[in-house]
Amino acid sequence: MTVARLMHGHAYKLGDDLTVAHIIPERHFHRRRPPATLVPVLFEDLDPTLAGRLSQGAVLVAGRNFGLGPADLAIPTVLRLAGVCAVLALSFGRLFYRNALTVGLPALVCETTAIQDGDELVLDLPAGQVINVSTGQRLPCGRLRPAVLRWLEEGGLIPYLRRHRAFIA
Amino acid sequence: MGQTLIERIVSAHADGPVQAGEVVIARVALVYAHDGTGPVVVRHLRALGLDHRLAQPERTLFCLDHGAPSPRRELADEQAALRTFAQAAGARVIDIGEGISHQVVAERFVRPGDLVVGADAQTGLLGGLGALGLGLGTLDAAIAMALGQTWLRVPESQRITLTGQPPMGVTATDLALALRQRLRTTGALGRALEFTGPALAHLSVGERLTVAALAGETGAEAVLFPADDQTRLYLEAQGRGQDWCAVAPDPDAVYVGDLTLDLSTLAPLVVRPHTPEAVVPVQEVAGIRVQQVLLGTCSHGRLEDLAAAAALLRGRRVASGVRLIVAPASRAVLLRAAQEGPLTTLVEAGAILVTPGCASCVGIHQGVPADGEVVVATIPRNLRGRLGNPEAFVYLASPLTAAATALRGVLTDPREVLA
Repeated sequence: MTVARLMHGHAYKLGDDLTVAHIIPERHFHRRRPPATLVPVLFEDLDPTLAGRLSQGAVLVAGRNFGLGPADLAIPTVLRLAGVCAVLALSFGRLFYRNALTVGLPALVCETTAIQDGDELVLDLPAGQVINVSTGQRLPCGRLRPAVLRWLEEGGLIPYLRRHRAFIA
Repeated sequence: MGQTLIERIVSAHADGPVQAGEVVIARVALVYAHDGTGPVVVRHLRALGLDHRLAQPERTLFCLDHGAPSPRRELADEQAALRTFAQAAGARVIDIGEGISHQVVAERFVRPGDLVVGADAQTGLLGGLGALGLGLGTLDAAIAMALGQTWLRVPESQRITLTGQPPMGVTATDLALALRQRLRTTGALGRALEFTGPALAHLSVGERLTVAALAGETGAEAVLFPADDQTRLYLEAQGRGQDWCAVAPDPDAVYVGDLTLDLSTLAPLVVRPHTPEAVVPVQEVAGIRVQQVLLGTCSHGRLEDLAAAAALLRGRRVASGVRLIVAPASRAVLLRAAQEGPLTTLVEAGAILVTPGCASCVGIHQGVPADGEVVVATIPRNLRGRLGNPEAFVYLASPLTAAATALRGVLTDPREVLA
């Protein structure tokens, strides 16, 4: 899933306090496993049908403290490979948050309480706004500065810096 | 609309004013790594192709404080490689024995209002000096070294108002642990905690560094104190009076939460093994036999901490069967403790002195406890396996509680000894 400044997707509603082990169960996680092979086990302990239902443009919508626990760039990478275009939450685990943006997955702090499973969402990243098309609600999610938008569009911070060697917009 | 402390600091390092919630690129005033993270930072620099020129070599530090002095040849080799890299790049080395990175940069390099990146979780303690210390991963530290910039989401701020005077036996440690009790480990996730209130006038920078080190366990992105007269006094004492500037939030800044802590209502607290949330009054665990006490480290290795413990132990002996290990936060602290007396008092009481550094806390060497042993330690976090043995039981407490416990050989409320 390539990140664009304006994205369109559907909400997959999740709960509070989901750790990285809820995203990918520890028994499956291994650094040397290619991230793509982990897509089918995403959220396996939470809802075994969820990984199969995720489609291109999925927007994960969580409550408090999404992604607590140890850091690994592979976890948000697997979410991207599953078609997830962004994660919205009331708050994020510190390491998950930075890792997500680093690998090119927008993690947006947003008032998610009123969003329902299946709601149609438009994410306007330069404006820092989530538009819930299903309800007409507009929710602020923090503006991303142009250099951040550009690295998200170019697939992550590491390839972006290898290419440009600077935070260019 | 007025700015919070963190909005002001980040704005001063970004292209124009920033607001909480925005994700921005910011200039970095200082960046450092230690001998644990430094080798990985260098590998990232090479992998990114950015190892040839550092943005600000004279403001880039490699602090050799974890394996200090090295317990193994592999670590010694890595330290040697860091010295070589730093020399070629023009970066500074803070070598073995000079102290813990965070303390050394607080003494010598960081100015109020600075935005600092450290490749270590405790970097946030610099908030005690009115600086924003971001404890980031090795990739982010490498980027900060190469480009002199970093990125962050500007956190919303929660205001913590301190009032009242702490009773005898209650320290800055207990203040920070009381805050952990209220906010738990996720209560401040994604937020900055900003301190204010009349009690700040009596809270030294040393005490503020302690609070900032311990309060980070609430999940906070930053724990910030304003830079005021106490900050000026601290910098003058370091011979850096010229580095002082006032840093404060605007009066009409917007906060997402407000919490008041009356210090006169506090009692000595400890954190039980093995989770940062298990904060209880010392009295609840009093009487538990202890085999080791660790006084010092980045959260409590400053002169006032050693002096407080020394005052309690003066003319007394550590209980038999207890090892009291003292790890000063820096050589400067060690020197002053030697010149001004606390060191002599502690050694006379039976203390074991180790190299200023992190070794005893991270469990590399210099005090790994045995299976089943109970340790009281003045360290920032007591997760299982801290100090190097997952089968040991580590309680986190203030220097006064640690000293009283060393004296009696069992977990002890310091008010009993001070009375």
